[in-house]
Amino acid sequence: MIHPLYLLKRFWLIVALLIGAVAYGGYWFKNAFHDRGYAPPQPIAFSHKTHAGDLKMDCNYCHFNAARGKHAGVPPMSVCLGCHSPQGGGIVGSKPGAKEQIDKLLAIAEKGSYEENGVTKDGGIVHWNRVHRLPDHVYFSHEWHVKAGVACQTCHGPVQDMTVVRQDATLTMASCLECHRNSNYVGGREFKHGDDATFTVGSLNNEGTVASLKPDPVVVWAQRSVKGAEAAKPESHSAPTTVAEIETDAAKLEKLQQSNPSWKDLPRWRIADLPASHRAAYGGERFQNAPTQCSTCHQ
Amino acid sequence: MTIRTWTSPADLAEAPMASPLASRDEFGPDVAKAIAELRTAHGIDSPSCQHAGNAPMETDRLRQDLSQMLPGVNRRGFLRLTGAAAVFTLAGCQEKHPDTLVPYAVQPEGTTLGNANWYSTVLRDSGEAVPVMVKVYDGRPIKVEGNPDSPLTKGRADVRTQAALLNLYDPDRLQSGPQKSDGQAFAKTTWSDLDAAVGASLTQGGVALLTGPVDGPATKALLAELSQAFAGRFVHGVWDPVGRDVLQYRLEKAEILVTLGSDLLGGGTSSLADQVGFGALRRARGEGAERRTGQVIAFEATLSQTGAMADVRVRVAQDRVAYAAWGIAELVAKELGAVLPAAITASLDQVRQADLATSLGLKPVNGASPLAFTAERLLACRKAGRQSVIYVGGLPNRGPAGASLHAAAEFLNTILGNDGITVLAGSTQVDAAPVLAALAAGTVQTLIVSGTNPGYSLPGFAALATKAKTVVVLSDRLDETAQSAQWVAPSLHGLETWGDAELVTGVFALQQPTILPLWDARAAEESLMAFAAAAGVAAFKTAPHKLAPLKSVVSRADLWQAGAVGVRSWRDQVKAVWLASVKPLARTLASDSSFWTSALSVGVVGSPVESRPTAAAQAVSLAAFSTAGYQLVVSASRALRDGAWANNPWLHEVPDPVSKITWDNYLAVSPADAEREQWSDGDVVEVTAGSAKAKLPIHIQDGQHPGTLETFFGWGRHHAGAVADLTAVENGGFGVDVVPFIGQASATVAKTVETYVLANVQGHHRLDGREQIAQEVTVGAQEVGHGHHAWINGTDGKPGGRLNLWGASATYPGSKWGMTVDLNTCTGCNACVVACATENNVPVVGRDEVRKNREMHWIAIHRYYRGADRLDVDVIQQPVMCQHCDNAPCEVVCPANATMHSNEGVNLQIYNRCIGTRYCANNCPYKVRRFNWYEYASFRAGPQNSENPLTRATKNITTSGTMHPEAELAHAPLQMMFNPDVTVRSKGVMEKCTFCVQRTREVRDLAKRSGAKVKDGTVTSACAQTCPTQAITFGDLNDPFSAVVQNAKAAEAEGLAYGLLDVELNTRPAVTYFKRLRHRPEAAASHDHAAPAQGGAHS
Repeated sequence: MIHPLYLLKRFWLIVALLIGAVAYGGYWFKNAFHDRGYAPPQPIAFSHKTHAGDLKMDCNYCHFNAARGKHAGVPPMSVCLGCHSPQGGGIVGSKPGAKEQIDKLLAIAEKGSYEENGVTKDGGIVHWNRVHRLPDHVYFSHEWHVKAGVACQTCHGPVQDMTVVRQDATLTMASCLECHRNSNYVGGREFKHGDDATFTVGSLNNEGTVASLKPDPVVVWAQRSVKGAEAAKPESHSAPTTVAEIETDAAKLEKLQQSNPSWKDLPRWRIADLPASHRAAYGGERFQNAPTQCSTCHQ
Repeated sequence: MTIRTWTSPADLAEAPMASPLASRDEFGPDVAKAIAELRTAHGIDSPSCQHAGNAPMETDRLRQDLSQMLPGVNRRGFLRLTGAAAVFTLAGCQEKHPDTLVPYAVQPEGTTLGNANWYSTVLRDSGEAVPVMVKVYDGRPIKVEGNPDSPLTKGRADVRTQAALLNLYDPDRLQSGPQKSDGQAFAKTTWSDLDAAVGASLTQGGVALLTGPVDGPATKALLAELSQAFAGRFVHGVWDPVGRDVLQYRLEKAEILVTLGSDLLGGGTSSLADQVGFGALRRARGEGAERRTGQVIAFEATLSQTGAMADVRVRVAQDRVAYAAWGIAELVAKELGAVLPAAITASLDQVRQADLATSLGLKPVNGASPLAFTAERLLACRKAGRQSVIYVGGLPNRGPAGASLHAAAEFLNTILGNDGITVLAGSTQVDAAPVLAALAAGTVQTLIVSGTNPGYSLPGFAALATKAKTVVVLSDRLDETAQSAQWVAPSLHGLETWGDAELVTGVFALQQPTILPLWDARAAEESLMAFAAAAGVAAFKTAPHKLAPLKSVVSRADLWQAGAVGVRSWRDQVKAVWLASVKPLARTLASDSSFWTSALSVGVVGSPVESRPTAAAQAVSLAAFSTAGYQLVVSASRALRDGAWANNPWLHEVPDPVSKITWDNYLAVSPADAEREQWSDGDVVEVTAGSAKAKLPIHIQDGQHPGTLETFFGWGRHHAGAVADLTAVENGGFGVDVVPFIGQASATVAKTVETYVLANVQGHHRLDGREQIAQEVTVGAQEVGHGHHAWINGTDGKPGGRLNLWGASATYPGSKWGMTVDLNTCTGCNACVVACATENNVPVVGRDEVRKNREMHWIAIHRYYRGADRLDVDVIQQPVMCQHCDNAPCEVVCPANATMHSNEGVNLQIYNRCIGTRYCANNCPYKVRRFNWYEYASFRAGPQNSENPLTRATKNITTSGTMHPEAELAHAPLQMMFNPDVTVRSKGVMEKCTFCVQRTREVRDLAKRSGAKVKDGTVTSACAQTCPTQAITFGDLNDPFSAVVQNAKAAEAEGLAYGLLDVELNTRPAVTYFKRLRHRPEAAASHDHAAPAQGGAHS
């Protein structure tokens, strides 16, 4: 004969175990479909905390592609070397361990390849480990989110506090809908399709968004629309149109900027736009594409 | 006379008119009875319901009754539960795959990650230069489009140009650098050894260079320099097995096109510009009383692609085409006071009994002699002050056999006043004769073959080549010609290198690389310069200078760079020649640098110079008729052309425009012969012509003249690569090499016991039991829009009072995308099919899968025959893609909500929701949905020849997860071709046309970025953009000024527009078809709109 109290005790034990199992199951299920918290080690221990947090560098300084295209992109080596190479800024860092990492970076650029886990990674580039990944079928453009004034941290979390970058948001469809359903974002409750005035988002309203979308001559030239229609052709073919020749056509660019002063304030990363004193640092063969916003240095 | 329509012979056996409803008993009698009862109870079939629409109450009652009939757990609920269960089971299987991000070292100016750049360049289609724009993502070309700045091709591209990317990324290209042969096998050598050896050989003895067609000024200048360097001992020849037209045509200026035993569209000798011109000829033009369309008259023995487009097609034996041609010339000349050559008149009189047409065995056209009819039309056209084109070209008319035919066309074009207006002088052409003669004479020390493959297409070449001491082949693979070479210098694909072309006289195009060389290869021109430099020719030398090493993407090899070894670079050469000789022609005041920049950007410079052709062909007396045996016609393959494309799976998988056969060569025979000889489709026969023999499967070709056999050249290459090998006879295919048959006029046929199943797509994806699919209107001699009898149907998209499951239709406040397809100009050329495949990552499935109706093409071009018998047929080509119905039948049956409408009226497929029930495909009346039965994207040419899984795995191009990504890339460059904007579909999901939704997105972004509004024409689907005849238009139906709306309105006003199955099913498709116009006189009875083929049309 089992003591009733024992049964009672057992009953509560079973209940507790069940609750525990359900809670654990729920937790597991909640996290089974995304990679939140994924933080792979990187070949170079680049610290976002140092750069974005302590030095307060603009995210767009390195991830200049975010405001221009679908992908935020990992910055090209020239961006790193613009500050850290002896020919560029020559910054070696003051934090413990920083110098080793910078030396490693310079060694990779110098040697042209490095070994990691027995695999040769070449090209003189750091082969970073990817943290964030959207499924293949997702269309997501960084450009419009950045231009609309959505903070990077909205999806990427407090990157400025991360020594090792990790995935902060779930990046599931639900996380997209969280914003897009509950506000005036595209697809939101107040948003009327086709009526741009009902679109307000982030720190900028529609007018601000429209105002920030000035024609970008690089984009207009380099990606002249040829898709199927004469209508989309540029008016004149005499303007320099290919990528390689634009940079050498400094006179034309200056003329262009004189004709439209507002273009001067846009982030430029062509040598021709830089004052002569800066061209030495950025005009070399390696560093010509450092994304330069004046305010990054001259705050 | 009963006129019927069929697509495959099986249709002819069926009852001509099947009632769609009566024949349908899919769920058994009980369900049919229940449905009938419901219909009666609710008065659905009653006239009042039809006209008044469904009152809301009626519909409610219907729903109530329907819900009572359904079981307790509905289908969606059940699937939701099972789906959830599956998700729980599989949730633990997910694992993060490590992935590497490799940034640029220095991001090139103008590059934005995720945005494409476009570069203008030139692609060569077996010698023909096509000006193109190439879309490049992160340094990888992923799409080719025609160059809109080209004056004659007008932004259009053909099927091979669209498929060219597969040749670039072809893993069968020579990957391991230069090769040396010891007569048995090839071994890797170095560039310096190669150059030294060839250079040494060049210093003495004769030098022979055999190339493909050469037209660019820089290339010509290079040849001139070589000729000068080896003065007196250099000979150059051009080998082009199919041969290009000597004349240029301006079909857009012509009113009548008469083809004589020639295939203008598919024959392989005319240019893309001719296809574009053909579209203009077919389209209705002019206003009011001047409104008219061009007329196409074809005299031919085999049903050609042009014959399929003809308004009047006259069937005539192959050896009598010349007689017919001169017969027309005789009648025209009589009227215009010209005189025929005496030899011709004598020949004609020899065969003429009462009437030439009857003597030639021609069937009358509307009671009149076809010769008189054609002559009368041509004269009427001339009287009206308009021009015509008489066209002769193609492989069967080459050489002496076609001389009198060419002479007839020339004679007619001259007396009709076409010369200098619609018929223009072309460029002079070199042929291979000088090189072959020098080889035969044994005076050649060094033979260099570049960019052509005589080892395959020129019988006896291998034996001739042995007479040269040193044979060097510049080729992108170890092809047939390379087999007889001592040295092979791998050359680059056109998209990897510089170059130029003269498209037509006076129009120059510049070719620039769009990707770094994939493998260790160099431009053929650079090879030539390196050889000459090694032979001590100072003109090609330069001071060696240190260059940063270029690294290939795939093999990671250091690439050969001309400057580093002291050879002049080909880019500098092209630039110098262009600045020196093309710039003056362009009459520009621009500086050299800005001229070069704009030439690179625009790609095409200059305008056409039009000059009268000079008389070339000599009229010779006509050969006597053959009386016995079969006449053999060897045409160039409409997909593979001269065999240069034999390793391109896309071109194997596109169905032939006429026979609809994929993946194999065949022997086309006349239905009359087949009946007499008891042949049936797929019987394997042995064809003997002269000393040549080949086994070929039979295809009974409707419309083919009795006594004529047709087979195709371009097949049977043994050193082209793995895909070509799949079609080889040894591997169970029928890609039979018929090169030895070329030039043979007659053949005998012996039936064997073998049979073979040709992968014929006709009859796949049938729109079963439906009516009014491909429609046509006979306009007779009347002008379009005046007095012809057109079908009037509910093309406004709102047929009143029909049963509608959907309730009030959605409205689209923003854009509503739509398309028009003009059956009058669609030639079935397949350019749209391949353009769609490239744009949307549509996989190749292979022959075995095609046989199972599993081809994945998002556009199916259905071909319809119509006529009283199988010998004289009219043809309609009808591209059918997803119709994006407003009332989409697929959407309501999907249990997973995986297919749904976007707010722009596009029916979309959401791949990650799709669970593969295939209900949607079953419910789609257009049969445009395609199911992924395998992981097709993993295979290069489909899971075919897959008797065991091991073979299947070796043909797998991806080895996901098992290799390091970079190593994987080296094995599978084909992956680099995928469009990153489009999901690569996996096994078990449905897919279909999306109206290129990613392009809408891209253009919107582009417009937004530059602060502009999206203009009409900038958003366009891949098919509409490439269509050489502009049969497809895409645009915004909500924009009243868009081309698509304007076109549709114009066609509607003439009663030519119709929505496919819209009247029957009320699907309200977003695609509007324009009826095919048949421009010919016809007996009055046929004008009655009850009689035309549409009545019995089912596919």
